[in-house]
Amino acid sequence: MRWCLAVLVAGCSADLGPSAAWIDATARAGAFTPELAAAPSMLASARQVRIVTFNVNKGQDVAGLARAITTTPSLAAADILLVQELEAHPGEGPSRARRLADALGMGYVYAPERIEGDGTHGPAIFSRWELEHAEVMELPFADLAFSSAPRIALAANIRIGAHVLRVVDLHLDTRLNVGERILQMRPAVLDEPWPTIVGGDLNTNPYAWVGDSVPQVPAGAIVETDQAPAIDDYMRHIDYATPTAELGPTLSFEGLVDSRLDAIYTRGVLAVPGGVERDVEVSDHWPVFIDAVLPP
Amino acid sequence: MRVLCLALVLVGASSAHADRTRSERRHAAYVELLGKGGLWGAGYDFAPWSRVALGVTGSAYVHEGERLLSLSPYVAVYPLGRGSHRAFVQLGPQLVRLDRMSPVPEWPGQTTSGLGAELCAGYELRTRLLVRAFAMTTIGKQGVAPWAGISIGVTL
Repeated sequence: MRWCLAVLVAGCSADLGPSAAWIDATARAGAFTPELAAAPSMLASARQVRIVTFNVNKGQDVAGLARAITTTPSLAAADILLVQELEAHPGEGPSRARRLADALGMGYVYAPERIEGDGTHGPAIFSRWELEHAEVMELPFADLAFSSAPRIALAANIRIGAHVLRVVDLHLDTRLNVGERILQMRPAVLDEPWPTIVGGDLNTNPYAWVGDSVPQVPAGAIVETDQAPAIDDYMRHIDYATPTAELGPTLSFEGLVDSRLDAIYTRGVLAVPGGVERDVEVSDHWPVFIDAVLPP
Repeated sequence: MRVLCLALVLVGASSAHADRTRSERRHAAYVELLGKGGLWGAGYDFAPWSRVALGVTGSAYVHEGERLLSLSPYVAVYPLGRGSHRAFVQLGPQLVRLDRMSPVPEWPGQTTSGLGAELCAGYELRTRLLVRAFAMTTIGKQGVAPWAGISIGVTL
């Protein structure tokens, strides 16, 4: 009934809840307690850092996921991996994040975002360097007509030689318009310390939405309704570089609608555009990578 | 139940006036659900000949920080059908303007506008009541988009 009203009544909107502050990830308790582990061996330093973002669509096949990463040269060279939609279930033994970290030889932090069945669902950051000061922010809640879910941002500081790189992993709601999307991500990106890497699944789909249910398809054939360039433009206005802006789609819906849902933004480093690995088929998204060159 | 009653009244009124010929009901005013405006629209058309009409549909709304305006003039032809029941095809340009208003001070928002074309095909019931159901495609520099809509209105 609520969905029908959303379709029929143009006054419906995705009411966004209040923003929250970053909190220490370890302050979250119970099912939302994060997992943290250091890399078995850490790199000393580097000038150029490979960053990958990948929505792994639950990551059920951890071995297949690890294989896809380690056998794809651009991904195997990842120093920092931002993952969205990872899950942990108690019947599986070590969590999927733990097993993926072991397979990649990386440290990690996994922060449950919501309960999913008998387990949890959330983002994770993997790194070849030590992850310090892991923090979680509850993003403004979007009260959608259907499929509403809490969203968090996960951040950590990564010490690379003399530099401390701030890394923020985002996964935003799907059926938001650009203004709402900005309001949902803004608390996690606006005032971050430099240098900063922001990446994730921003769900920048190709439509303007009405009632967070009806995509304005006809207008999209005539004017630019794609949200990805608009979010890129917003990020440029707050001094982020947009190295993934020209890399093309990161998801193809049934081969009919191509969307650039995933992105990486940098501030305070030299960003070198990388690519989208469209031969990787372990998820509905394709992984995206860039290189970031740290200041001397 | 109220909707059903209203529909019965409208159909009844329509039937009562079905004796008037189609050629006498050359003007039509209607509202669209979905259709050319994406969500809704309002339009008018005039049929100078039995199988040809000229019209325009417009739509405007502000929703969730986005303002979408569209204007779609068209030529309609009725290649099939007789009397009150006909198949129609509409073809015409569409002008669209999208304003994305900024909710924050650090971003100015965005405005884009463009011109494309629309092709609609469907069924029309035209008595005193006008009902259309159609499939359509919009063609523009961003691509081709399928869509559908229904129109309900009155004829004069």
